[in-house]
Amino acid sequence: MTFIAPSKFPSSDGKIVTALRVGLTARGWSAGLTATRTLPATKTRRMVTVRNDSGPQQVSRSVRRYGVNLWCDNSVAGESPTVDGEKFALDGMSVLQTIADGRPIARMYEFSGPYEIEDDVPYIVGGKSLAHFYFSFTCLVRGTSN
Amino acid sequence: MGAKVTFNGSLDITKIAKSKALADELEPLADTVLAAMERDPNEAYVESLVKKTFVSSGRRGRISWQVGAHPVIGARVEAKRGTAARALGEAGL
Repeated sequence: MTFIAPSKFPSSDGKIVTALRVGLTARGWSAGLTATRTLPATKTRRMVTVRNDSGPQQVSRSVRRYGVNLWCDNSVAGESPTVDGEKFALDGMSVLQTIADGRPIARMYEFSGPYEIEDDVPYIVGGKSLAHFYFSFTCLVRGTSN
Repeated sequence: MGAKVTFNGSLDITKIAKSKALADELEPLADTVLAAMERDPNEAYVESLVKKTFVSSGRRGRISWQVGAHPVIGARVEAKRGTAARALGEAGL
């Protein structure tokens, strides 16, 4: 006898990428913004990549860890790219904390960062060096009956 | 339909949480995470990995393990490959 019905789990990557693109645009970071799962071939002044590090499935819930890399130049004259990069990353974290709607993302938690990452060879776009930040979080995805 | 389990007698959760028996059951989880992180191709990262054991006192005392790398190297590797996150997933955590 089976007490617990097997579950199938939907994808969550697309929802997270879209939320970052829409949310960061709404917060004034639209110029030169690309938000994708992998780095674009043509680099832009503001880039966000989302990496799914996955995790265990527990009955009807899938625990998924994500890593988000962000690159940003300085948009304000006199400011360093590090200052803008940190603001960019903090806005990204803030956007994602509000996207859980139960279907399929039940909860967003364990946010960690942003950490400044020193690239071996910094990306240069439009003559400006990009600052690199990283943050991670855990996402709980709700499954449906198989 | 469900099940009900009743423990008779008095249980001291503090003693259980810090017991060698429970630690022996749980420490392999930390070892699994460490083993997965040691497979990262960055040699400096792997050399900097450590596992530390902590025992806290008091009513809510417990045994815990911390597995990590050098902070700067660890952050770079985590940003690039998500090594620690994937290691936790492999351990079922």
